[in-house]
Amino acid sequence: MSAPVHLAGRYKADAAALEWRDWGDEWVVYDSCQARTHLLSAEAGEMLRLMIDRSCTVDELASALFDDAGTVESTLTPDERASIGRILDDLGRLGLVEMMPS
Amino acid sequence: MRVCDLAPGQLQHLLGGSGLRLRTGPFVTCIRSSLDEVRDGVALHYGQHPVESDDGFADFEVAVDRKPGLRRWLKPQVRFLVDGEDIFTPLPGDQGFPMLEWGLNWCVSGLAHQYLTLHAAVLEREGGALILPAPSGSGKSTLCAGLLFNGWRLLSDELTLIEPDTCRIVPLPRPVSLKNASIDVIRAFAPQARFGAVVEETLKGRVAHFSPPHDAVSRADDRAAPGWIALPRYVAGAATNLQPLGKGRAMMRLVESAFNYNIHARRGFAALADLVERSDCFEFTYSRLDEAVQQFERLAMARAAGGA
Amino acid sequence: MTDSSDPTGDLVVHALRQIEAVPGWSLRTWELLIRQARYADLLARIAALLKARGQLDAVQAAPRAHLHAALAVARSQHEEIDREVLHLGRALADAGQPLVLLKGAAYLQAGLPAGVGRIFSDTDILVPKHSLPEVESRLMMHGWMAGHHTAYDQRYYREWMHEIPPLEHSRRGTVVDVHHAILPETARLKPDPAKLLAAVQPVARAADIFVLQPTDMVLHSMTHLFHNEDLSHGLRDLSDLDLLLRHFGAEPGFWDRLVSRGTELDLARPLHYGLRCANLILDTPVPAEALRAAGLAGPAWPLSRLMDSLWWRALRSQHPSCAAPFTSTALFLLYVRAHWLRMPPLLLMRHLSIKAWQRTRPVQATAP
Repeated sequence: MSAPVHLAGRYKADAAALEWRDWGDEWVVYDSCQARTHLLSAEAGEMLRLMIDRSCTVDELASALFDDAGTVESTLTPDERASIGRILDDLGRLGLVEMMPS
Repeated sequence: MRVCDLAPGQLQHLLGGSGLRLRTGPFVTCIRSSLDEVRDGVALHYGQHPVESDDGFADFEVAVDRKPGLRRWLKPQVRFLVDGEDIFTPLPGDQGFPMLEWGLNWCVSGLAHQYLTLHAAVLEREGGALILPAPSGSGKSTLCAGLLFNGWRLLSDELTLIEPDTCRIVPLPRPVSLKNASIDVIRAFAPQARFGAVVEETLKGRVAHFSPPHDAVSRADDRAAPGWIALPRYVAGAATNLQPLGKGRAMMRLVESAFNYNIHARRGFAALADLVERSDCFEFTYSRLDEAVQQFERLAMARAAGGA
Repeated sequence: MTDSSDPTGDLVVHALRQIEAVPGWSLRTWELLIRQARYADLLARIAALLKARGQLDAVQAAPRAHLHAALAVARSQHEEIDREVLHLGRALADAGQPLVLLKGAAYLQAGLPAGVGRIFSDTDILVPKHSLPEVESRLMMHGWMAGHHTAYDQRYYREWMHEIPPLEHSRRGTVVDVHHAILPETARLKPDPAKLLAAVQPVARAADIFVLQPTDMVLHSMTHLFHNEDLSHGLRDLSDLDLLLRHFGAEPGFWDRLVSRGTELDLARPLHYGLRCANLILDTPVPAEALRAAGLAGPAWPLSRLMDSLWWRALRSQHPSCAAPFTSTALFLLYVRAHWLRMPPLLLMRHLSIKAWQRTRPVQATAP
């Protein structure tokens, strides 16, 4: 996935293909579709776990990660949204998530 | 019946004829060779190992001999045969024993997929396995050799065999190989080590083997539970330093070290994850072997005290 | 020593003919069977046949470990083929062609017994000849590369053979053989590939993966086996054929359809050899009427006698311990090399991901 991340796009991971373990801020993921193993940060791992359950947009991911107290999305800084986007881009390039067809 | 119990001349007779059926850990290998250096190496290093009877089952059938042809008188070469077929580039004539050892490693890493096999040294203390995954040149072999003379039981200096379903580590006690400067370091550090001939000018430099300790061989059936994983790194002049290592990174190193991870696929992932979960993981830098040994002694004492 | 009631000679053929007796063999016989079977790429098949009969645990522990090891290798290869089929499907869709699988990949995707315990090397597909340039170009766009072939090799394949030179994927290292027919254009027999393609069927597990219809699959297997100058996998291919015939033979009317389709596709002679050899060597149950009808296309005596003895010797494990004059070390080396190539390199596994950066870190490029 080399296209830029779409803020409105919904992204999903393939639950059947992935297996993971996490230890604190290190996650290891096995992708049986490509027979590859990856080391991920905690943010990337948490994002992946959310997208295994259901498809998510960038904002939904940001809310879930940064938003423990139930605050509104609009309190997210542009930097936070951008960093989510970059992680999503990485996960896409690794073939771990895909944008759902609209 | 062990190799050292064979009648005089019987070893040569078996090697030159129907084959010596040698047990190393879980494997039986039928070995044939007409080479003196192979016979001498086997007699020296495998004396304590069991010899199996002819009507048992051999996992591998191998031979080390001179490459036939005119060349054998000019510049003799040795070759390693598995089931009658050449699989390696032949080596110069005096490298028969190292050839046997490398060939036996190939058989295990290439065929024994009932195990998840890592390129790592592994020792045992207090029932726990210390796995040292590392590429060549990292000081793994020197460290392994130092430890096995200081209270640690050798399981293997080269191939860590893991039962995928239980994560137990299976011993494969065989001669320990050292290269170049390590040979001199260990000769000085452990004068009791029983070295065979040093073979010069191999692809890896100077190579020598020393015999596995008796208890490593006699306890070859004692499988070990996970204990520690340490990534060793020899750095000249460096201070001895044992640092905790994140389990994610430790696991990635094990994945990198595995010969047959892809064959085990998901089950391999689960087994390695279970292994790191149940192990204390470290990075280890050292330059002085005596200090390194002390550092691991402290680890062992902590495990003993913790009653783990 | 071996039990005197154990078979000798080609143990693999004995095992395939009477799998239920195999757990009772002595350890030394098992030792030889494993070596012969590994040589013939049939160890996983024997293990799978035992497993299907619930007899794997009846094998003694030491040889059983080798059976488990062989099954693990086969399973990982099957997963690789599953992945490869997905990738091929996408490339061919781009070329506007359906994915039609041949041989082992077809058996596997169709869930046939012939796919179980099978060892794979390449994936074989069939496309219409006119689509070759487009298919080849799309495959290359998806990462497959032409191998290093001389100009002569290229010409040999493209002008005279029924497939283009094998394409290897640049990243995955997997190989695809693209066929446009099942026999070379220079062959005397002319099975029309258009007829084969017109009769393909989707597999149960995916509507967009196609395989030849049962009679054609069987005929292709026979044609491939009996026209192949490289018989190093002869016994494995015969075992595949045996399993195909046992499976499809249970369908009503199959044998009549097989014989008439064989005539229609100009493949009556390989059909004769296929039925005869499978029946004689592996005890495949073939109705007498089918043998007779197919035999009409067979060679006359004494050629028939000669061919029988040639196939009898050629279609067996070519392990040195088998009593066959055609000892070929090439088979073992191919097996060993292929096995070696499938191992991951000692140090390197392409897995370490781009580590996603922390939310507090500034933007930076990451390297794998």
